[in-house]
Amino acid sequence: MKGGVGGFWRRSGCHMRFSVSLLVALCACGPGVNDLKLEAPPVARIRAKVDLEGIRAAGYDGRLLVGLLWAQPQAVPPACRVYADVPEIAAHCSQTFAVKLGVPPLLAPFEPDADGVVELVLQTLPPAAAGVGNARGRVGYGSIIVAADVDSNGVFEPWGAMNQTESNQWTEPDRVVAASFSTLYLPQERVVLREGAWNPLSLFLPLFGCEPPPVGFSRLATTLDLSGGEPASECKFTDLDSVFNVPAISEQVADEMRCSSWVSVVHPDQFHYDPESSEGVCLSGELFFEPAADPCRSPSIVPLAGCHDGRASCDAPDWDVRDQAPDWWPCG
Amino acid sequence: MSRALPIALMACLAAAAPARGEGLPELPGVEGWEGPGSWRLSGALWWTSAVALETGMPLGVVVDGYRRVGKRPVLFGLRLGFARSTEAGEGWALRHDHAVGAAVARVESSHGPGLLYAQFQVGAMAVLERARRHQFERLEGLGIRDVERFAWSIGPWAGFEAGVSVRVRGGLSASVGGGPTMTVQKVDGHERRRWGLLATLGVSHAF
Repeated sequence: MKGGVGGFWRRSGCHMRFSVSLLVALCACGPGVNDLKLEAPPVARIRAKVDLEGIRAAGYDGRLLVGLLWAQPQAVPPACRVYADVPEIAAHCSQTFAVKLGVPPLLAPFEPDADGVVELVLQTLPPAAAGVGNARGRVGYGSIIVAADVDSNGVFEPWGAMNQTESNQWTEPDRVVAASFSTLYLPQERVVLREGAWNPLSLFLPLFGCEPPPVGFSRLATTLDLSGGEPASECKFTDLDSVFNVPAISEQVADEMRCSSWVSVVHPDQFHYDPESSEGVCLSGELFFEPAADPCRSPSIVPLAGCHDGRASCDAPDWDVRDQAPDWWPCG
Repeated sequence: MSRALPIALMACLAAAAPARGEGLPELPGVEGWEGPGSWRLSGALWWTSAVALETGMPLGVVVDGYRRVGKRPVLFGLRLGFARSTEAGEGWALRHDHAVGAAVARVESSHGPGLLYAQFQVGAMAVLERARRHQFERLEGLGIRDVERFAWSIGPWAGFEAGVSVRVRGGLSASVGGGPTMTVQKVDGHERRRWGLLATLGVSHAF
């Protein structure tokens, strides 16, 4: 380099210092940008009045949790179709109409205001998998649930949790004690989220006799009557400003929400029959039904002529031992 | 920035080695080269520190134009730069476009096919923000408001850059450089002075 650089810096040092001083003194202008702490307004607010008296009357007086459960699509067990005309089996299959817990939602401590109303703030839409449909049209149904926080740990554990400090014992499960929408069979108030087009043929928690829901969030109050031949109901859509009613539910309905609705079809040779402990009943000379002792276990259907579990129809049986029933066969 | 700085330093060292005459390739016209001509135009990839998104490193391009003044190895010119960074927070996906316009004073020293340079640049930086809510398309489809926002900030910007340039062919050379920067911007409702680093990797043509 042909000299001069050091001299240049020495001579221009004064100018540089002046420039830097001027720069520091200058101010930024404009509305200003944001960093990652930028807060987002809620997507929706839901207000609900919980039937606390009903919960107390059912015998729970402890700590409560509250939150929004988005109903998951449920597969109807194929056996429910095969044996749809058998009332005892159909009664169990009615559990498929319950709003299943699936992945337990995150619940918050129940902190109502002076009027007993609790507010749920939704910061995001539910995941697309929480409803049924695609990018052109999707619908999701939410239920406001209240759960008994049995072990008072602030976490909703509907199947209990492993207590590693006490010999790996399972803790008592937290139970849903109130829900605005628990099963299709009961009056219900749903949080409805419709995106895009509506498919009137959708059988996902169907809205019998209702008009299509409006696009966006809405509150649907409906009383469903399945006592007649055709389901009938009164539907009323309102916006989310209306307060949801969250009635207490029975332990049976809570179990329907918590447990799988599966029904197993078992070959007679693979069924372990214990005459002393069995509570099974003969539905016919060829059909034995063993209910599950635990509400969360599948009952068993044992036909002398039947099809492997998973088949939705059984016109041609996979096995037929009607002429050579096993020795233990109790139905005659 | 944490990834860009070591890369830039390594590239700087690698590029500086030939300038010391170790294993120099025989380039036509290298011998007797006394530096570039009066005018210089350069373009480079540009990494710089984010003004507001602390974990997002803006990447973009920068274009410089210089003119040599007199017989001294001093050049004055103009720098225009653009870099973009995107980051997602809890509720929003933020995109920040950084635009810089600065006057540049540069000194350089030729060493065979290589050239060391140092430059000081002072000007202004504009930061343009586009914030979109997560699930933007779904929220927009539902008619929910306030799912997209725009904002901006303009403030003074200054930087120092040192680097090395190696002549490749004719008046074309490849260069790598880096140095500190400083700007004042309005972030999160407050005026903030932000120090940072920049790195460039590019080519220039002297004529």
